[in-house]
Amino acid sequence: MDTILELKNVTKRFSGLVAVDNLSICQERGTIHSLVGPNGSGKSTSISMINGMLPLTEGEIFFNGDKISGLPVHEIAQRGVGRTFQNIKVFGTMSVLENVMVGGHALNKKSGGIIKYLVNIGGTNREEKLIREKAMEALEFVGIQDLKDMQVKNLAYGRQKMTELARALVNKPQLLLLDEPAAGLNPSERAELTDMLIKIHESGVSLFLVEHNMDIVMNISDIITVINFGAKIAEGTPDVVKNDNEVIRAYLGSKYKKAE
Amino acid sequence: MLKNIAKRSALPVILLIVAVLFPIVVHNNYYIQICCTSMIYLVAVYGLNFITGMTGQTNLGTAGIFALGAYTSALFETVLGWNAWLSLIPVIAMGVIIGFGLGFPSLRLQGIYLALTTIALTEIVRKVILAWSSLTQGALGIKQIPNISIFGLEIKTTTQYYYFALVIIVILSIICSRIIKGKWGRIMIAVKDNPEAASTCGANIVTIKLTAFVIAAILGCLAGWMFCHNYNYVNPSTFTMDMSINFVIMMSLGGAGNIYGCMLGALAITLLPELLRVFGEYYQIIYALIVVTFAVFLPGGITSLIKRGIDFLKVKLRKNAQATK
Amino acid sequence: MISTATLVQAIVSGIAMGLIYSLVGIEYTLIWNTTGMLNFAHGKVITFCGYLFGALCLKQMGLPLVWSLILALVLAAILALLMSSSIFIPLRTKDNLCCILATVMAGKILYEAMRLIWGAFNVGIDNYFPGTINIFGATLPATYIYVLAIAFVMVVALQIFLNKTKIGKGMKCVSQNKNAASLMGINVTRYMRIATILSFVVCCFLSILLIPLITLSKEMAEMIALKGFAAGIVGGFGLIPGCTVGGVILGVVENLACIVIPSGYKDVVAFVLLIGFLLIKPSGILGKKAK
Repeated sequence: MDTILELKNVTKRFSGLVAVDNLSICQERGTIHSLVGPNGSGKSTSISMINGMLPLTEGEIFFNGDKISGLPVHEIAQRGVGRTFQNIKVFGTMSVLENVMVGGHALNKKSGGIIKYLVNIGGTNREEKLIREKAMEALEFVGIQDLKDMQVKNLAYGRQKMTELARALVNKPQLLLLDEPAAGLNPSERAELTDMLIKIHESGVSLFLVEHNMDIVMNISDIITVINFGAKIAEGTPDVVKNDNEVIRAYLGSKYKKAE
Repeated sequence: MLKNIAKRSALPVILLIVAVLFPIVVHNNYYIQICCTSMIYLVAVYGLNFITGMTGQTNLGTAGIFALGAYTSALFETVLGWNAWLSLIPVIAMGVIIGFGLGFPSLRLQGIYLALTTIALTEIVRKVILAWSSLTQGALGIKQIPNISIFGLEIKTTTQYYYFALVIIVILSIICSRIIKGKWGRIMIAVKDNPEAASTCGANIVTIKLTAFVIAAILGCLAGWMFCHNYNYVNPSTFTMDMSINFVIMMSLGGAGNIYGCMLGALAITLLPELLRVFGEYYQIIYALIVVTFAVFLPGGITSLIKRGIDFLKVKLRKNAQATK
Repeated sequence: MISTATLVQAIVSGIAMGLIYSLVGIEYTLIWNTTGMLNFAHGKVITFCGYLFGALCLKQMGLPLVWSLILALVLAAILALLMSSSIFIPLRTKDNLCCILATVMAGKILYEAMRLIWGAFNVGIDNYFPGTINIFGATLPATYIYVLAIAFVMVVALQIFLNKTKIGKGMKCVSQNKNAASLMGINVTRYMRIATILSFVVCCFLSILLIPLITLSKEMAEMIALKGFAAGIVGGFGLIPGCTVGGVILGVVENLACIVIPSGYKDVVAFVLLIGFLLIKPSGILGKKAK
């Protein structure tokens, strides 16, 4: 298996409380892998550990075979891991286009510090043009290019989510971490989101999804990992998982019960 | 495309023409000096803009940075006999040192704690300057700081200084504008709005904050260097928390994060004592009330009001154009 | 060799000044805890109260000491209501910069008011804590002992008030969680007003203690106000017992330091302590480490 993301015995303790308990996950490149579980089961904590925002108490995380646990957030991002947030984190005072252009900040890995920026006028102008082009591409991919000059904080919630998504895509990430992307969306917005996630996946991005909404998860995931109280209780394709008794008992409810 | 360039450079060119013609049209030395002072303060405000206006870190210590720049320059010139251009080297070095010195605490302290730290630093600077009189002449200040000379021409008169300062302002405005409008400017505002999100975009928050502080400190020290060559005299009683607050007012009244806002603010606040002179004894109170009104009702400054006006007009024109179609 | 007399003087006057710093810490902490605003005008408030007491009541109206005290306290309370209604309550939700500018400008207005009303006032105020006292061979002005005693009583009284009375507990609730407090039926704005009145009452007492020590002038409380911030940081920002501990430590360390370093640098000590604590232990001596 060509592993893009691996969590090895990852544990997170918050002074006595075990939030994530010896979690091991192996995600194959090019798949949509979902992490589900009841509220407080440690899903958001896991995502924050993958992208570097929370330190691990024990265990290791590997991206493309390289160890990323312990690296700072911006370095992990530069290696090709994008992330969206549960309660979207956009830059309120800037326009949609500017928000997305921030996503391209690290596009040119050799761009250097601010002195080089000021001196190398030609290079700077080219980089600015490149960032703008890539940002427009991302906006068009997501479908909100008409809103590019609007101030983000004046947009509807769903549009702000799309802005955050576009921002994460500018850097052409190999792996996109999505923290409850469907939170706060109405059914038609959720359908739009599902289509968008499939579109992103088809463009070659592996998705790691933390989600509460079982409809989306069951529909698009290749593999689902179910956790409860921070520990894995089941893993497999949607069919396998929805027939797992542990999962049904802990979480899914009778809707997904195996037909007798 | 030529039309685009013309549109964007219209305002700066007009401002430049007005600025160049000003001393020729207005012969009053007093007002020319006010403009000189505004320009000196503007350099410091450009710096403050990077820390507070853009990166969003509270800084009430600009007067301390200003003082250190001024005293570094004054001491190297009066004690060691260096000329003004040579003393620029230690002045900029001082800026870099202070930039890191203030930048590192800013990584761990937020909001009011950072504000208190910057106040404390300003007070330490002022007190040390006062107490270390063997070096700094204490409360007497350092007198007879020599003038700047360019290729043998000494900058003596107010009008000469005016044009000297104008050249510096034009150069700095172009540099600061490039930083603000490009990716560094964007990422600084991103750090202000949402530092966690900024780091997931691949931005190293530490580097960005430190860069903002170092730029700001260099500009602040540069302003101090300019100051001591205009008045040829420095003394510690000038560099108080009041001065720091005035710099903050200049930046926020004009409009933070914005080159024109800084210019407007620096000019307005330096000019305000003159305009308010009609109120006689009460002018400080009126000044305070004006500042509070702006702080509460127009936190984006005057430029945000102008922007809103322009947007409003744009929408109206578009509606009219659609209506007539 | 440092004589016992010098040491005793440094420590006793250090504790006295220290308790003054503690009281300053307490007065701004009361407003900070309930409204989230730092009153950058507090130095000018203290000085203004000093003029109300010393210039207006004592000298211009010629009232006896106790009546001057009472009238000054009443006027301070009125000032508190004015400032809380115009600044602390309406602006508390605005961002940092706005709050700082608003309180600083309010201070400026107070300063100008002092200048306009009492600018020409330069009658000396007789020390109402006269005499000297002898401790361990050191002769000290009795003022320090009076100040020490009164400040100590005030700090203890405030602690008791805040912890044991209904109003005090109400203020604590508002400080810790405004939403929960208002859901419990506590009128949050009312308690903000009460906190401001209490704060300004403390300021008034502070000015009465300061006049014999420093003499009345428009700049009387400027340094002390800034050092009060240091006291709070050192002891534990936002904690009333923290202000007490921080203030006393600051006062004593300041004085002891002046035995070894030139006295011109005395004021620097407070700010060095402030920065040092913020960098090393921002929660102060009594504060718990934030996660």
